Amino acid sequence: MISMIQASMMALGLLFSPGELGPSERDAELPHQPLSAQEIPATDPSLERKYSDKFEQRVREESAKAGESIDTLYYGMVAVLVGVFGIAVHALIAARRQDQALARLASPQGAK
Amino acid sequence: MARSSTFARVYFPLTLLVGAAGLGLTLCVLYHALIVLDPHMPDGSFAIFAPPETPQANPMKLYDSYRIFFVHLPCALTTALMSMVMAAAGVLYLISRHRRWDALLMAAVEVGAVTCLLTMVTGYIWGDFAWGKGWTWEPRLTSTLILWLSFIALMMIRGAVEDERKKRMFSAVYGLATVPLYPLVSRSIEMFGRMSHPESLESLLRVNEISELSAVAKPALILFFLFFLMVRYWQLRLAGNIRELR
Repeated sequence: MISMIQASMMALGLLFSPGELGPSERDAELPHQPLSAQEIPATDPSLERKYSDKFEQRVREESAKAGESIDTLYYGMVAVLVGVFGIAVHALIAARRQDQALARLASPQGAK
Repeated sequence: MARSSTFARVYFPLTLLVGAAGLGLTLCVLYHALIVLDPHMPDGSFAIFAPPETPQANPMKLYDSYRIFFVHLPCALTTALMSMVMAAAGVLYLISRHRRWDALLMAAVEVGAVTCLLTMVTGYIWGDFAWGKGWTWEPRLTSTLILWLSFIALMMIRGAVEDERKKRMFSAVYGLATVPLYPLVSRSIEMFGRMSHPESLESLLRVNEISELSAVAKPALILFFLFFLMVRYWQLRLAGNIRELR
């Protein structure tokens, strides 16, 4: 059972991502020779820290900018939720009217 | 004068109460999640592990993206709840053959389809930020997609059956047949292994304020979606009553 599910998931995955079946034409033209251990440059810890700090700084700046759009997002979400709730309440009130009409029809006086 | 029905006396105020409580709590959660909580917490406070294929071995920082969990988790839980309601309503219909269980089953399918879609969309948005890839064909995501397709399939197939009794019987059997789907979603990581999706987000959220708000967000959004389940249930029941009168 589990292997059947796994196989169907894989099939679904292959179906929707045909590009991942094999190397594309562009990739086939590129040389696929792995780098030897000597060719891989050694990582410089100070350089890593520098870029990490820069990245952190960039994220904080972006976050500050995003703060304003978060306010807009909040008010937008409030409007959507209240709107959807209003529509549902309206539907519920309409259902109550329908129910009352049905009750009148079902009563002996209504049947007359 | 006709005697007022159970719907008018009990169900209508109860539904309004559930809806108002759900909306109120959801708005409070959103206010805290988006306005009150500080996104600049100490480094590593809300770390989550990067997917294994990424070169970085250190836990990644979530920054502002953790806010989406307050919607993603409750939506996933509501989907689980709707899946259970769907199965239970299917069993109860097969036992009693009463139309009310069919109405409940269909209401659960509709709400489940919406919450499942919301789970996938919020997951996509977060995945795009965290993994650089919104969608991957990994077990948790693929099984969630299968669950959503099962909701949609029932709505579509039901529309194609004309006979009301056959329609109800088919839905009940279908509801029962989809019982293994949610356990498949929740246990997919245990069964097939973890690729990108973490097994549990809560254990990785190490800030008290976030855990506490997450604990409130779940019942708040579940109540809000329960309100829609109740509204749809009564609409479907009344539609059935009208069809029967004709």
